[in-house]
Amino acid sequence: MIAPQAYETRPLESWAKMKELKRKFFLHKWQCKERGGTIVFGGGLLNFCSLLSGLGDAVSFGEGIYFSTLMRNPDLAKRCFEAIESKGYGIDICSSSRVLMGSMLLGMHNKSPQGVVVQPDFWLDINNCESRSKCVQVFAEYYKIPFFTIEVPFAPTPESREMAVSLLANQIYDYIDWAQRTTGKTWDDEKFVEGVKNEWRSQTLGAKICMANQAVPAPLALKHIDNFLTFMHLIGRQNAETPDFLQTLLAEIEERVRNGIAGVPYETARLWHEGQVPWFFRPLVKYPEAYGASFIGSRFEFQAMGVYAPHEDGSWEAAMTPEERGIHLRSRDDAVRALAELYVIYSHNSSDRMIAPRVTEMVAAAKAWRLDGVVFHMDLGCKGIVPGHLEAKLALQKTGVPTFIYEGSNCDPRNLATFQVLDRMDSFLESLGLRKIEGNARETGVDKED
Amino acid sequence: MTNPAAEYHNLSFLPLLTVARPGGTGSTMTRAIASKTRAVDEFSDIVRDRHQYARDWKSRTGGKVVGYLCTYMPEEIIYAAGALPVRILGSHEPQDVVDRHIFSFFCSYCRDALAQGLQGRYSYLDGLTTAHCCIHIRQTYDSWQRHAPVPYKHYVYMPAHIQSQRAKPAFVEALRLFQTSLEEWTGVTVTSESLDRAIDIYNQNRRLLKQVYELRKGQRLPLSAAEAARMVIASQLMDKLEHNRLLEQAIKEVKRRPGNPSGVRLMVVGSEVDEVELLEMIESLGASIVVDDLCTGSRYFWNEAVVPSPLTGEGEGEGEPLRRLLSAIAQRYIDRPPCPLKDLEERRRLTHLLNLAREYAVQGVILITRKFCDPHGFDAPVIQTFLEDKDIPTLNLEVDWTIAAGQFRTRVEAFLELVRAQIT
Repeated sequence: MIAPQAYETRPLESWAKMKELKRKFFLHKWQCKERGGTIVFGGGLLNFCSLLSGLGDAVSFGEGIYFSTLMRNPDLAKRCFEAIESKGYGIDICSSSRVLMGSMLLGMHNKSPQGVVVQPDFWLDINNCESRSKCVQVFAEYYKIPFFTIEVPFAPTPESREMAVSLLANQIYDYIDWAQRTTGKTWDDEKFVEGVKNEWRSQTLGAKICMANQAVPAPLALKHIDNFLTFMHLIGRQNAETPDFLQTLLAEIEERVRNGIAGVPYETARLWHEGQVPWFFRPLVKYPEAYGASFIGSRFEFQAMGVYAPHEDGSWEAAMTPEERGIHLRSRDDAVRALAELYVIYSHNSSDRMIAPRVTEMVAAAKAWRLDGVVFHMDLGCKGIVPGHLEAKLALQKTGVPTFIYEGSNCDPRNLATFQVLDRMDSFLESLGLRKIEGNARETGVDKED
Repeated sequence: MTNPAAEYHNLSFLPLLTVARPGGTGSTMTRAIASKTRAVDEFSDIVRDRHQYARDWKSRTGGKVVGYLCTYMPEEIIYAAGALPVRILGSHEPQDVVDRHIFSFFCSYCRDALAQGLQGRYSYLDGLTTAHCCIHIRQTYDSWQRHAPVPYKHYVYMPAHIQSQRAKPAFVEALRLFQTSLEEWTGVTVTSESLDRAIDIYNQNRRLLKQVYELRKGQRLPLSAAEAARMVIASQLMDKLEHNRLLEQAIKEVKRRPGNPSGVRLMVVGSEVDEVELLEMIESLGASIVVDDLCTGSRYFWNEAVVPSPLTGEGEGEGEPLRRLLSAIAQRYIDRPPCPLKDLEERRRLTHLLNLAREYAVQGVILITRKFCDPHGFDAPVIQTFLEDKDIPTLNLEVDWTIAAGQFRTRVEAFLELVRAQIT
């Protein structure tokens, strides 16, 4: 048995500011229509947010305003699944698409629990996932609203990089023309350039925050990063408030690293979660804390948080903004190019779509973040994130990093046997030489009895 | 530099399948084919003995064999480089080698293909390629290379958003990169002449296969669905020049047949469906599969590459003719009946399916959906609703690695009863 390794910890001072901003932007979104703004739906708009900036007052509700509510209420989610499955959609296709389409059929997709209906002006499909684009087709047909697809290509070889950047850039030009025609608004290049600069800054700061977790003890736990990610999605990376807040947050995190302040009280084992944490069972990421272990990272979440300069050996480094590289964005052309490069060259959004880099990166991440174990979620609900998990597991085992696999679903509660997963998680944590720390299980707020 | 295989493509030999390798007595496969009297049956042999065919081809030509996974692969370029493109198809045999590499929740085609790669069934391959399609295929492509490396590999970026005017220039560039890569590997320069010729041979193959399908439009059917399917599948395995010659012969034979009255006229819709036995089983129940929308069927050959004429013009720079040929190839793959993965925005598939149904007087449609395939899974309910609104009954059969023949038989029988009740 390994003796628990305790560290000093304290709450993040930036937390209150983050909550205040979330409240402000939540209202800002809901009041968009009253202000005469444009409402856009689209899951991919968690990135590419600056494509809204040129339209002036425009907000995104992601793929549906009700998603997180559904995911907090498994019974409601099950109703949605059953509704869409009764229309002939199989249980083997993308689970988040199914729950969203089911909520659409039940009239819960674009309506708040208070009954306020949000009618999107158009749907912007960021095509980096084959399932999602097919789902958008169904939505657009159902709502009878215009939709535009932007394929996010990737470069399978270094020689094809320019082809991929040009393909993306040219589609962005087409989108700008289309959005003007569709909304009747004039595209504001000044706001667009500003949006792209902010998006770039947000992405590099997000990456630096994740990189800071390489420190021992890690200044943050995965549950914190989860919250920052929600913040970025809610506020939008294109808005100056996002990078400004992240800059303050990064300064605080760096201060914590200098002073050895940990994200959680114990960090006897540093763990990594590969894949999406089930939406309806977020406490899972806190479960190892009962054993004095902490999830300190996840490729999926780190990639969603920021952009990185890729290295041959799979190691990551936070990317530099165009300005930091001496490139000044002044015109639409500059901004389009910078946005295309962001998502073809620096974002794992595209490079991650080949399997080989995933494996190399996982092995490099285990070394860089000094991991004691990696947990893989074999997600029955998402075929986009799972590829490479098994190959990465084999590669990690060769380097001596213990691994654990559980089968579940990011969205479908029917596919996660909670008790079994936690039982097996217990065994895995014990195999790492850990034992439950008296009283800590209760503090984490998650137990098998929950 | 010239390549023996490239020269082989230029040979004019008849009867093709009695050609023996230079200095040899002819391979087992060649002799077996030569002893057959009916060209139609020879496709069956080739599909069954596909690996032997490829090995024989290698030994008699000295050329390289390039495997590919998705039919968006621009085979013409491989062919112009003197190599033989061979589609990886399912074996449908139980295996226990892939589960540590690929999630069991992935489509059976991808798992089956990888299993065969890891088992060394394709050990004769010199190259493994794929065109950009789904994440499942990318996993297969990668794991195969990782654990059973093939000397040459190339991933062709075929855009997914083919509705965009930007797709074609990007795809042309991806084809140019592929051409360069093949040239470096094979040592054969792809010239405008060799590519033009490859396009001609491929177009001829497409026309011939379309002729075969034309024969299934009438009320008397001179060939079965299984025979037609084997002709298409063999086309994905054989040297196209050889296939063309065999196909010409087969068409003559088929045209001489009196034909059988058609049963309930069906169309099958799906992805990679090389389980010909399933088609035979359906037809054994009194149905006739008169047309399909499969990537092992009509989607593979339905349209041609149209090369602008004249190929060369005044004032065009060096290399321009080649670029125009690549452009014609790109357009062909963009225009072909789409796989659901690439059927984005305004749906083209629905209209295409309805046209096929009307042209071939289809009375019912069976969707053969490969389990765990999201793009087909998303399309299936939409297609069913669309066709049923047009009074065309549908049945969705979900297939996995192996076929549950007994269950399917019962379901198809019930479906045929329903169709018969509707048409009488």
